[in-house]
Amino acid sequence: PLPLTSVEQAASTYFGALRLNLKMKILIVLAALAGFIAITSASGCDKLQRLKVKSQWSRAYSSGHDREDFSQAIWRAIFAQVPDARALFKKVGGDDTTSADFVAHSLRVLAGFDITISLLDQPDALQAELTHLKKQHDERHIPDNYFEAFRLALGHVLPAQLGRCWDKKAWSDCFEVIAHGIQGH
Amino acid sequence: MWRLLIISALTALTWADTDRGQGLLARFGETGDPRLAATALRIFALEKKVDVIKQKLHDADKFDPAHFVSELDSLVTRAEGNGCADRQFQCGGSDRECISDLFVCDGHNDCENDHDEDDDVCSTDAVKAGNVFTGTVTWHSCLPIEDRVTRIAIIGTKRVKFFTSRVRVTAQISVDHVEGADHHVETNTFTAAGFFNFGTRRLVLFPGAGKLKNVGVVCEFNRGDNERADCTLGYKASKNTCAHALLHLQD
Repeated sequence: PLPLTSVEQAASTYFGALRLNLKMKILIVLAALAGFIAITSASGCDKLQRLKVKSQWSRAYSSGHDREDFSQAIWRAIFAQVPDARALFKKVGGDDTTSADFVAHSLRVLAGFDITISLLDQPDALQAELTHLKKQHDERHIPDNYFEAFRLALGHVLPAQLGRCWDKKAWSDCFEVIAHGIQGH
Repeated sequence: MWRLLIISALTALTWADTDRGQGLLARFGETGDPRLAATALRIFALEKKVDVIKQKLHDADKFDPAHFVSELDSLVTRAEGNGCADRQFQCGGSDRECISDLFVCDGHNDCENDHDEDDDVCSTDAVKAGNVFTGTVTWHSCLPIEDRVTRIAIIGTKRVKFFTSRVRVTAQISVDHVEGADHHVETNTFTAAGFFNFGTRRLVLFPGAGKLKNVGVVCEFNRGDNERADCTLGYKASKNTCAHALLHLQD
């Protein structure tokens, strides 16, 4: 092959640089896109989703004896996943979910959850409530997988209770907000 | 007496001109003992009777008194009501007790008589994958659709271990309709997802796409078995009913 002239050499380096530049640009665009997707999915639970969750919760949470049954079903589903979690509820009759002590306690817990859901559309008040609940939970050192068990229990008992018209995505997005607020991470 | 027997035997043999008859005749010739021959004839007559009984058994299969009584029981119960709210389960028996359908077949005994965990109550036979239910859907409102043969095929089920009072069901719904000048049959098929509720014996499916996007299918196995279901099609939001069908399990 003929030796390259200096002009040709210069041209080849120039075009090489140009190509590299283009590659980098594509990469930057891709990275920006990925970042954007991450931000939008992290900031799920938008205003409309919050309203949806609020109204669906009020239907599922219901009242009177139905509320007791709903709560009972959720706690059975939690303990079926993480039997060790019963130990945390020893003082409140956790060994038997149908005991009066535990029924009272499970209703108290759901009442706390009800407060957070009711406040989903008032960010400041919600933050205050989540901080309060975080303080209550911190001293009990609850492992992350217990929160996950609660999420899964809710994910199955809620649609069973509602029957129709429930938005899985809105629930998983907004549950994250509440769970993260209580866990602190 | 023997002569009479032999004569009647011969008549029977000439009448029953079958392989078996000829075999008999051969054996008859070999032994030459009239007493043995008479026994052979009796056996032959018994075989005929057994065949008749077999046929009768086959026919009797179509009439199942227990099944009939169970159907009647279900129909009467439906007519008189069971004293429970819509989403509750009647424990039945001598003690009338209503429990939430969230507790039926969840592994805990909630009824005083433990009826909520009975094998009969918790049978998943109705929604076994592979089951195909057929019937004619009659529309009376919502959409201008004439009566159509419809099939619901269960294609998948899932039951999570920690919440067993529901079975998640995926199904394929196909609807036959007559098209064109030659009146050929075309079939529309769409997938639907939903669940089976042991407490109410209802299979609820939501097509979620196509013409039936906003419609829910509710099939209640209220005929005392796992083979027939009363189905209602209605709007998902308002539960306003649009169509009815009695579906039965295909063989």
